[in-house]
Amino acid sequence: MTIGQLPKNFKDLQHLTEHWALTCEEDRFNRLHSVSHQELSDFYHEMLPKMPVILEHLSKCKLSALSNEDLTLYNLACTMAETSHPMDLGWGATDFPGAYTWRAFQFATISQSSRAKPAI
Amino acid sequence: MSKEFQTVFVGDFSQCKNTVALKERFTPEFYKLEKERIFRKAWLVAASMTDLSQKGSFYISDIPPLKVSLLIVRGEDDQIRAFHNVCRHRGDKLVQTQSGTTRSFTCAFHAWSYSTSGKLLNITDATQFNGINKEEYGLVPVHCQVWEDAVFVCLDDTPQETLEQFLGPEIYHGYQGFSKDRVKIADHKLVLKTNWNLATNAFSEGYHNLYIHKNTVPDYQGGAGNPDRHRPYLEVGRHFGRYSTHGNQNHKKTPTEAAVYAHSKPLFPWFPALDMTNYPPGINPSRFSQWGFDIVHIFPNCIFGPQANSHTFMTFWPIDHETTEIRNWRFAYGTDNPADAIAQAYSVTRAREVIREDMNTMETTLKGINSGAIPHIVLSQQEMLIQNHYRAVDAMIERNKP
Repeated sequence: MTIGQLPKNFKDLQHLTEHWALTCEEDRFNRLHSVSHQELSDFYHEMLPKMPVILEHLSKCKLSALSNEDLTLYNLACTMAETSHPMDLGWGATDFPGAYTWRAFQFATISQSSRAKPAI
Repeated sequence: MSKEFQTVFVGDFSQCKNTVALKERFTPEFYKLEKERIFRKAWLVAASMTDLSQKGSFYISDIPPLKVSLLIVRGEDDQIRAFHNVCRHRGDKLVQTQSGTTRSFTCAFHAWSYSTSGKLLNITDATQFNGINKEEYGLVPVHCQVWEDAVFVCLDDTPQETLEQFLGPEIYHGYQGFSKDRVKIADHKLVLKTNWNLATNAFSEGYHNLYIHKNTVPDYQGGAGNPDRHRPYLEVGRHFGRYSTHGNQNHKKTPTEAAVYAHSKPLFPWFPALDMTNYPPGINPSRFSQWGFDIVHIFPNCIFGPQANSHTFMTFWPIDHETTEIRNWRFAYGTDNPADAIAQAYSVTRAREVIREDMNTMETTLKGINSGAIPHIVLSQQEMLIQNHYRAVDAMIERNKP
C-alpha cells in the first residue's frame, strides 16, 4: 500500500489513501476480497461522485511523469475502478455466486510504464 | 412472428459432429496421444511481443504438457529466438526469472554464460574441460515464428508445416498490423482441475453468455431481433474456428463504466458502431454493422479475441489429463494518459469477473463427464467451433500415427 499525499484539490479524500491507494491489480483484488460489503460501499459512494473530476484532472497529466501526489490519486482511482463491480452490478456482497474462486488468480506484474511503451 | 436471426456459416462442416463422446477423451491414455501427436507437433502461442520489446528482452514460457521450459529472447540483431531454458553444462535451469532485459545469461550453478543469440560465451575454469569445443555448446534452439504480436513455438524436431501453412491464409494474412501500438495490460494465470479441451471449449461458443454472465455483463451482446444472441458470422478451418459477436447497441453503462469510458476509446463491454475501414480483413470478417468482438480459436489451445481497441490471448495448457493451466493475457492501445489507463484497468477487471463465471463451469463439467452419466455431449450450430475442435483433435492424432 502507498501512503502518499493527494493533490491539494483532493485533500478531502486523503483519509482513503492508506488502505485504498493501491499500486497493482493483485493488491486491489485482494483488498476487494478482504473488506466487508459495508466498507466497500462506503469507499465506492465516497469516490463515485468524485470520479469525473479526478479523471478530468489526471487526463491533463502524463502517466510516465506523474508527480507523487498525482500518482497517489491515480492509484486511488484505479482501486475505485477495479473494485466498483460489486456495487455497480448490485451483487449485495463483495463476491457473487457462480464465480470461480478469486484465490486461484496469480498476477504477473504489469509495469505502469509498459502501458505507455508499445511493443516494437 | 419475427424471423430468427441468421448466422452466416463459412467453411467445411462435413466432418463436424453434433454429438461427441468425451469421457474416453479424458483418460490418461488419450491424453498421452494428445501430448505426443498434438502438442509436440502443433505451433503454440508461447509469448507476446510486448514482453520482448527491446534488444535483450527475454521471457520464460513453460510448455506444461511437454514438461519443458523455454527461453524466448530478442537478440542484438532484433531476431526473436527460442531455446530450451537448460544450461549445456549439467542441465540446470538457466534463467530463473520470468522476464527481463539482459546482455547475456549466466547459469547460477557454475557460471557458464550465453549470448542473447544462444551462443556459449564463457566456460569458467575452461582448461579443466578436455576436448570440449565451445562452438558446439550453444543453447538448444526451438522452432519459433512471430505472428503479429504473438510468438509461436513448435517443439517438433522438424515442423511438418510452417506457421503460415499451419494457420492458413485466412488467419496468417488476415490480421496484418492489427496489434500495432498495443501493449499488455493484464497477465493472469490459474490452475484448474479440468481437462484442457473443456477449458478451451468454454471460450469457444457464445450460446452460454445469455445465461451465465447475468451477474457481470447482462446486456453486452445481442439486441433487437437477436434475443438468443446468435453469432452473426461463424467460420471453421483446418486449424482454426472463429465467430463474431453481436454487440448490443443499447448496452447500459454502469455508473463507474460511464465515468471511466468518458476518457477512453470504447472498451469491453461497450461496443458502439465503428468505422472499420482501417481494420484488417480478419477482424469482423463479415463487417457486421453491430459488431462486438471476435473469438478466434487457434488450434489446439489458444483463444484469440480481437476487439476494436483491445485484444486477448488466452491459452489452455494441460498439466495432465485432469489439470489445466490457464494464461489470460489482455492488451490495449498504448497510452500515456492516466485517465485512459484507468479505463483500461476497469475493462480488464470487468472481463476478469466474466471469465471467473466461465471458469466456474470447467471443474464441474469434468466431474459430470467422468461420472459416466451421459454417453455424449450435444452441440448446436452455435457451438460449431467445439465441433470443429474435436474434428481437429481426431485429424491430428490420426495424421501423426507412428
